Amino acid sequence: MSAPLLQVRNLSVTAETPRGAYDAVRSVDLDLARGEALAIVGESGSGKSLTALAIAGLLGEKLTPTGSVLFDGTELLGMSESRRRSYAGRRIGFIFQEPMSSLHPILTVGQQIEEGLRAHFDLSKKERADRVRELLATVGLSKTRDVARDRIGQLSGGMRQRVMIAMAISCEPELIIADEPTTALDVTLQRQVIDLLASLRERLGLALMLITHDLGVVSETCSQAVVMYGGEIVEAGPTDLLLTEPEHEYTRALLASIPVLGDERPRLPTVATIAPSLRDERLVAAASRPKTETITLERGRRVRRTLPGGR
Amino acid sequence: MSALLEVEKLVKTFRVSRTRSVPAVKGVSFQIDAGRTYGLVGESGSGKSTVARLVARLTEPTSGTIRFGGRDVTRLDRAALRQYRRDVQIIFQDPFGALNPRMTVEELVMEPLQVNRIGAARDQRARARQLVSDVGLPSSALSRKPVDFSGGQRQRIMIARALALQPKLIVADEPVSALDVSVQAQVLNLLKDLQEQFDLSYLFISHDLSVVEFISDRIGVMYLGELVEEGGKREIYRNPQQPYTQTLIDAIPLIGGRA
Repeated sequence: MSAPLLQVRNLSVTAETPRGAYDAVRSVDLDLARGEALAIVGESGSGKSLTALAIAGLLGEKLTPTGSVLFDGTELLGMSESRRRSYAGRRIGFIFQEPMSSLHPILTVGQQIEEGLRAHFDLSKKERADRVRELLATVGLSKTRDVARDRIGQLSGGMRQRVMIAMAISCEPELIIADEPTTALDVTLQRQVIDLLASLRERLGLALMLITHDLGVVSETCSQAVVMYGGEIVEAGPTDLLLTEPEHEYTRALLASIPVLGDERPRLPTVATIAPSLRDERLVAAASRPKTETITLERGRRVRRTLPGGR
Repeated sequence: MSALLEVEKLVKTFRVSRTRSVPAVKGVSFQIDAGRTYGLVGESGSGKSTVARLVARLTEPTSGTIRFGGRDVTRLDRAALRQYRRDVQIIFQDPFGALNPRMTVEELVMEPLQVNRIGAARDQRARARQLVSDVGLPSSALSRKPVDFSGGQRQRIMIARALALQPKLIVADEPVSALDVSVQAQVLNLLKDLQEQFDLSYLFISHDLSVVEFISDRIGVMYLGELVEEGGKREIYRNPQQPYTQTLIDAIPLIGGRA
């Protein structure tokens, strides 16, 4: 097997809070091969977004990553900002959940897509305009009108998300990290965006890291998945196994809490969520956490288990 | 069983300029029985939220009637409208935007009672305490502010507020869409429990068909301002009559893949 495109080892993220340091993400290991799709599943506060931001080098000031993030064999953690930008800026694309707050309200769609092209390629004005048109066509935005001249406010939620995707793929990245790309969308739009991401992955040979709490989306898009809970990976493995024969108690509980069509259950079982927010005073001190170990099962499955009596 | 709410040929047209108007709701009719849940599904732009606002009397219908307990509520005098607004409460999707951040939970839950001058201050306080416990929050929540609570807990505060005036109908517009799945399950269970406990009716609006099916007795499917299909929840999903309903069902990502 060739080396994975992305190899994350023992990644932790420490947050500086008014009450001291808190390790919001702990010892995350991930592997993502070229052209593959990996899902990071979890609820608010599980650490899934921080993990994604740490990999993309987009963590805020008071958040410090430790461990190792190898991208195509090169360590990204500890790399200088400018070095990182020239090495990985073009090769990793990021799609945010909220297109409205991550796109510029005044610049036109075309100007925003061009930004990445200007930074990473030496193209003439005409070449850039052609590339923008091509990208908009790729994400299915060329049919009705010339969206490149529009501003974000003139577009619907689904169209905005397509613009974000066009920006993310503009520099021909090898990896796309999508943080809840469909959460703000309706079912039918959600379906379109999922299908678009899947087809881009196939056509362009992209690796996709999808951060979501929607297990249905995971099931249809990603062959591998990890489940995060309280800052740790509790279970990882092939999606089909993970969703049909979950090993970890939390994965099982999470699956059971979702209503499905034809559901005859009068009540839904609920999960005890810990999800500490960073302002929460109940921040679990590292010392009081139960000791855990990760065991490896067949087909590369990993499950975190609490050690007996290990407190 | 008699219908609590009867909506007939409801029309709402928004004027966007002097010459142009947009029909948001085009002749929608349905009924909600006492103690039952009517689910309204559709995409954004289908007009489902406009129906919610019309039923809650937050906006005037262009034409059509809304009867509540047999009475046409589109033509009520002030006093009767006041009573209607106590009987029908609305819960919104975004519990972050809908709660005043400077008020404590106790103040937030007491507010509807104060506005309607129900009971003395001491009774209002006791009632707030009861409501907070009804929605499954600890009494320590009373003295805290919305910022201290998670999305699910804030939605519980919204529900406590909605219950304060002992309504007969609660209009819930995407009440769980902003919540994580496990929290969503808690809030759905809570809504079911409260329905049983207080004999509430719900108009439950969502774009999530699985959620609507879980909580509803009857379901209406809206598309471009029209109710394209309506029926008992089992019929709708097992045997959809409209291609659009089938499209909606097909769009749901299935866990474990499509058979």
